[in-house]
Amino acid sequence: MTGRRGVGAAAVALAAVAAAFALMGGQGLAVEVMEVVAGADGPEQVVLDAALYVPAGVSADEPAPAILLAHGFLSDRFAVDGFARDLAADGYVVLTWSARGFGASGGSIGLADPAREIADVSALVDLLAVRDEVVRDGSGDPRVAIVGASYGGGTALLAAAAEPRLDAVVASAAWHDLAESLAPNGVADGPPGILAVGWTSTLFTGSGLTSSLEGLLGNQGAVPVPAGPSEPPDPCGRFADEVCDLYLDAAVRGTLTGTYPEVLQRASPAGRLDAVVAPTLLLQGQQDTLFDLEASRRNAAEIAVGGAPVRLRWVPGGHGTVGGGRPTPMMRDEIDRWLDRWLDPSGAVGDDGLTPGGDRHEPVVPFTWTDEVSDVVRDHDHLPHAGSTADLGTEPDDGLGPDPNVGQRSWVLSADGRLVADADVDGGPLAGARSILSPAGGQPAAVSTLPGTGGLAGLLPSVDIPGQHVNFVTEPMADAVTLLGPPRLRLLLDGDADEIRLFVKLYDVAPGGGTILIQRSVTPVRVVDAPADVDLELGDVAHRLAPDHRLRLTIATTDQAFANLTEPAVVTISADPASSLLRVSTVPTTPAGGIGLPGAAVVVLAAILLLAVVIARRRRYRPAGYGAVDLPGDAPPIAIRGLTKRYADGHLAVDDLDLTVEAGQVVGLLGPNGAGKTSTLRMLLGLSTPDAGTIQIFGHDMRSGHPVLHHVGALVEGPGFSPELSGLTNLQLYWRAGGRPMEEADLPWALSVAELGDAIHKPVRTYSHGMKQRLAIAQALLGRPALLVLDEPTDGLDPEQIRGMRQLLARLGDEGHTVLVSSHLLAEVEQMCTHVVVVQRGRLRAAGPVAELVGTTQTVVIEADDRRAARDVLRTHLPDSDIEVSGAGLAVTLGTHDAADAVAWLVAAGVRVQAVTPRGTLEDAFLSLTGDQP
Amino acid sequence: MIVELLRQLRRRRTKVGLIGIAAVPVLLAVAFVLSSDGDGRGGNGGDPTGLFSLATASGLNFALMSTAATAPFLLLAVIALFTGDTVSSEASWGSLRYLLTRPVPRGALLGRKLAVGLLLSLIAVVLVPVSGLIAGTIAFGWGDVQTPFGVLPAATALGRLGVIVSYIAWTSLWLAALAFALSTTTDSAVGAVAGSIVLVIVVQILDAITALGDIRRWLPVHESTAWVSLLATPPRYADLSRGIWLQVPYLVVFLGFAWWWFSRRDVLS
Repeated sequence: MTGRRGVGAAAVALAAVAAAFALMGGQGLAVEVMEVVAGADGPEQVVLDAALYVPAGVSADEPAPAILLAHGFLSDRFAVDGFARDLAADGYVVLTWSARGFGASGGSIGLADPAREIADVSALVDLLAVRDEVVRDGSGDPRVAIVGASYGGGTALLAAAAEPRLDAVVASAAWHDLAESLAPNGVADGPPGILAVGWTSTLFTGSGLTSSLEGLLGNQGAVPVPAGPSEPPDPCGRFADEVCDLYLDAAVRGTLTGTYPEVLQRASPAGRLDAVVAPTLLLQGQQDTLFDLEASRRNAAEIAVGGAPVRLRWVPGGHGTVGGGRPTPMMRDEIDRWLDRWLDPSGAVGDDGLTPGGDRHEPVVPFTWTDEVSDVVRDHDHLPHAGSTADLGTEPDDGLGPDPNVGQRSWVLSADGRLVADADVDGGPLAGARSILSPAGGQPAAVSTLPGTGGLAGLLPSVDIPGQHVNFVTEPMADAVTLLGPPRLRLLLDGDADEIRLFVKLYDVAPGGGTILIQRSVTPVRVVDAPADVDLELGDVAHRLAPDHRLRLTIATTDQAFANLTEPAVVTISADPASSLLRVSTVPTTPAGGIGLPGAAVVVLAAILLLAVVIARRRRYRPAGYGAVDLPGDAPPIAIRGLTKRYADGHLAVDDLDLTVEAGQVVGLLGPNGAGKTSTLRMLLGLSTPDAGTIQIFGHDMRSGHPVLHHVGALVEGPGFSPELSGLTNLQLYWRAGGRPMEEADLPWALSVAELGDAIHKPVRTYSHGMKQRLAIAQALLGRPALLVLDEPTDGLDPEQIRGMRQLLARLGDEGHTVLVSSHLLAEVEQMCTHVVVVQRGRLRAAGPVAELVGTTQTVVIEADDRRAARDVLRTHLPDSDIEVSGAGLAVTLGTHDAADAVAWLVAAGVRVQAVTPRGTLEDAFLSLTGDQP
Repeated sequence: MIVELLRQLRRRRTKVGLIGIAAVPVLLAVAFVLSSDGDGRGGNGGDPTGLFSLATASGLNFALMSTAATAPFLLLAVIALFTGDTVSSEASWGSLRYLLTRPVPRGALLGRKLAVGLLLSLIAVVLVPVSGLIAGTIAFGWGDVQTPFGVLPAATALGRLGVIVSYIAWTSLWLAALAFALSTTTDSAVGAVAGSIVLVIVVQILDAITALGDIRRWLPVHESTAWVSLLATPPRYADLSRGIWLQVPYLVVFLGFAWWWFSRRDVLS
């Protein structure tokens, strides 16, 4: 029963696992590696290393839409191989390529230069336009989407602005204004900002750049460095000269100078995206410290101005975060649905030349983000609000009108370190100034983020250096407040140096003091003409402040991730109630439940609980005193019918054996080696399963673990004990494993039989073989079982103990116990047993009382005066008989004759006969039964 | 169940396993105190969770580090010991046949053995952070927890530590089930335990081979370090819930096999 249920469960599980793997496994897929010549019209003609993935079933007759899959920075096309295969499995033709300057492609890195990398995309679209496997929307116009993350994401956006033939765009972790990302400045319309040295050096020197968004596209490590290992060190590696010059100059000065506008602006989507016509999905990591939420918000707003469908999705993770290190299925699902919606792999073309694919006519949800406090995904029907210090009039032009849901909260900076809600009149803000030091050499520096090291980034706690920062903290929030969009901050700054560099951060402070750097966002502030009244746009936030949490504004002079000032300086921050103000955009907080326990955990817990309940109920329904069974007086202790067992190796151990043992009998089970004695005992005790036949013990059909075993004591195939435990402990645990109280075991009696003395308290591993054997017999006697099954019980016992055993068995038989003893010592069995069963080759040869079996043979001992003459006489008459010397006489097997014949022959021959005695031994009986069938 | 628990608790391998695993954090604490000049930072090699470099920040930090240090292998080895030798050792001593001649169905016997093996494994998993917490608090004091993501108040961190330990215990179940299944098939206790440990290593190596692509996502150890995201504020659950689900098919297959095999097995040893 249990076995069959187990098989079923295993089969179901195997099927489920197999199905899961089958679903993932690639079916047929052809990968064509090709060299694409591109950039003939640009500054540099290159050969690109590309690969085309054509799924099985796609051909000129059944073309499919195509996807251009762009890889991340410091990587190559192999990094997106896994994702390409996934997309091909969904039915798309996929084209991957190594961007110029990377992998096996030629050329130098131009940072998504329209004349270089973006022109390459057009060349690749041209290539797809002549492939018959790809659906065409018109002559030279393949149906194609571009998908990329990070560098690939920026490439996708710039290509979407330049290449009208693209039909859909997915850009993950892309930038908006590269100058703003590499050298940000929170001052609106301010000078070039502070170089993000951590990130720029990472990007330009290639020390392990990974991110969850690149991970999303299968880019998981395997980062080739731009310069070949055998070449001499070159600070420029494979970068284009103007890019390299820009970096070297910026690295030295800690900000951007010189030619940066031209190089970085041409590589920035900013100002170009209103030309995008393809529906665009923008994914951005909510903890991205390189290309932050603001970049994606501005990209989305620009595309919306141009009128193309756009969806902005903020997801956990991003460049330089840990924890969300792998793409979530949710993100993959988002991308798949976007591509399916706008490309329609089914290939049907509608009347309008567009495809009426999927849910294409459903409205696009413009904006979705994840409330990571509660793990709640929140949809919005407007793009996030840009905010303003003056008022909240600055709306993104998403064509949807003002967002009625956006509210605002404002606090005034107070010189005593408070953020005072401006409605608060009592204990109002204090005017005053706070001064902090900008240390010489820029060290020690505050730690907020660690760029570039992928899964390890952000491992360091956020640390602010005493004397180098100033905090402003709100009162605890009465209710949850959901901040969304860029906070605005107005400050009055002064310093004793011309240039001021500051870093502004917002923390969520829990009641117990735990802090979170919201969005891991640090907004650098660079002012070159102090004193200044600055109007700051801080990095975008998407964060819910729980009730009783506080919002803390921290302004620091240093940050390890940025180029700090090296000249020492003192910076003064004036808290002026009239103008120093922090303002945030808010949206209504959904009534999300506290901690958002994952559904899986709930389900698993419920399943465990259910299982526990089921088990508990099953226990309850067991009859009281489980294991107690009747021992009907009329049923024989052992009744075996037609028992057959063939082992896996084909050996027929037991062959149609019938055997009955009646109550009170002490039965010896005899047979030559390999006769099936032990196999029979194993099946009798439920240790192995018969192939055929029935076994009844006290009338109960035997199976493994049957309750009737309470009344059975056994010694099979020698003793078996835990060697580390004492003999006594072994016996106690053995008995209690049956679920009965120790008092029923009659342990003292069993121990007296074992005769182990103090050794009973010693570990079994110290016992001799004979001691173990006696312990095993004692174990079999626990509870004074009605049926005792003993396999070779005298093995290892000395003669004294063998005699004791004989007496014990006799006593047990007298007391009404039933005993089945197997032994190869025939004399022993003859003395111990009332009955004998002889088996051979798995079959029953004879059964009955010992005396009866012994009497079946006609052996006599003849004592004659002349033994030699007597032997000669007998030999003449009984030529085939065994005649041997036995004591003073001759033992003669008479066969068909009787004793009188023998006496007559001898007397006739003149031999005087002194005595004739019948000799009956079990040995003779056994040999005569088994001997003729060797 | 109680009887089986007593049987296992009195065994030397149980005592050695539990004392040994509890001693590891103590030894680590001594090592950290003795080498107090190095604060552990200095490359991130061998510190995938980022917790080693923060180990000396507080007792709770040390408990977390101890957990992170032992979870990938040492704990799994101890769990394999507790679940892998429970049936096979009885078979090798010959005592299994006597257990089976007790009036207890084989399924119930197996259930007791598994329950006790899992209970001992759970004790081992819990012992590490408890021992780490005690040793760490003595060595480094009580205080808030510095995590790779920021600072957690001690009370919060204690709760999270509880959830982390539960997660580690749950995601080790596949191995417990595997070792248990092996245990029912062999009469060699060493074979079952060592076989399980070898398989753990193989699976971990496979999980490190990025070329395997999506297959890795289905390996039972793939989400085994996802608990690190519980240290973030707010904690993230996406990988965790996947890690929890991921155990289920392996449990069903391994335990289903163990029951199927053991209930039809001829006990010949």
